[in-house]
Amino acid sequence: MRSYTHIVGSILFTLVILYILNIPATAFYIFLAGATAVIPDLIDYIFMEKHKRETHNIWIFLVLVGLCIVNHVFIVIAAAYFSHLVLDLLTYHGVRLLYPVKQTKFVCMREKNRIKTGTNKEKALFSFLCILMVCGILMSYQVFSIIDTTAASQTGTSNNTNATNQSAAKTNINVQLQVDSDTVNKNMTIKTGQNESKIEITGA
Amino acid sequence: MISDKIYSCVRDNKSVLVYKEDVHKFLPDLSNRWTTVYVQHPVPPKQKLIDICTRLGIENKDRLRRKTIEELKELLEAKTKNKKVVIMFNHFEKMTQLGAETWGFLNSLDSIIIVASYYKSFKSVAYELYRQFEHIREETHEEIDIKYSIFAILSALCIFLYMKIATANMGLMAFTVLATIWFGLLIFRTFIYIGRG
Repeated sequence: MRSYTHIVGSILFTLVILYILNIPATAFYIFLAGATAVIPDLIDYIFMEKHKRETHNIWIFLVLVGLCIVNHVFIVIAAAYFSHLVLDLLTYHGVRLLYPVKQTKFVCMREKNRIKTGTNKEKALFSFLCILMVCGILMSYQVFSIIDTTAASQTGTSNNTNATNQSAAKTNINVQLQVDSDTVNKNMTIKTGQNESKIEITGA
Repeated sequence: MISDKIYSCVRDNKSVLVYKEDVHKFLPDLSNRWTTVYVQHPVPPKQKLIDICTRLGIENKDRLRRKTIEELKELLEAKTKNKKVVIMFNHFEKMTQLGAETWGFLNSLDSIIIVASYYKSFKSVAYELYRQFEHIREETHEEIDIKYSIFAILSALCIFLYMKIATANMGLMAFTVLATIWFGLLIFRTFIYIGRG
């Protein structure tokens, strides 16, 4: 795979992993994922005679997974490296995942279905990943929520108090209270961060 | 080493099929020890039988051309008795029905050992012949298809992602977008299925 496909694939994969693990996707993490995606190939080109994918093996991945306990940064690196392995597995030549223990090539799918580097098939995959990556970045920066809130306030479903703070995410809280018939008034306070809302409940 | 494996197989009167190797490079080693004939491809079978007979000096090429495949087979059987002849060719994957029958007959002869190679998958008609060979495959040429493992990992990730988005309060829009994409692709896939002819 070409480096641009690896970069896009690893950013997308990292965003997914970070989202599942509840880790905020910062710009640094996105940059790190993109950079890590090309490092295995770079090392291959610098230290080996040609691109034989000797740095693409499961042992390095296992070390990176082990290092994830130390710091969140390694989660990003491991995710980016894993995406690199997966994308290279889709190629015609496959990857020697158990190198240097075994020389056996690991591939994905039959020969005719595999992706040859630089072909239209790869470009199609790149475009598809690109769309997903853009969606992922927009989602990780809560752009959809902002659009959602804005749309809601424009259609009048949200009350006037929302209009003062449109960038905040809409939060729905369902509270079930058992109110005695003889109770006349009851006060309830809801604290969210620094905000405090007071609700007065009136008995029937 | 592959050459050693081939050598030992030929010594034990076993026909060999090698994966992704040009058998021509083993010709000097084998021809030092046995009568060896190299024909590039296994087809067309009649032409190949004529080539083998000519190189073994059995008869004149023009006279051989007039004979049928069955006559050529009989001739070859008769003339190679009490001899050990090694026949080599590449591209086993080009084997046809008639070719498989002819080479199968040659392989059944005690006097003839076949050393062949293949580079990709071959027709089902050649499978019976394929089973009669000893297979030599270098570790570097071995391939393991792990598509199901990869698909399972990616699917599991997608399931987690979808669950996370769907259950998040802030993700109403994202949930809608994802469901829309999913639905759109489902429709697109259906159209592809309908118009596959």
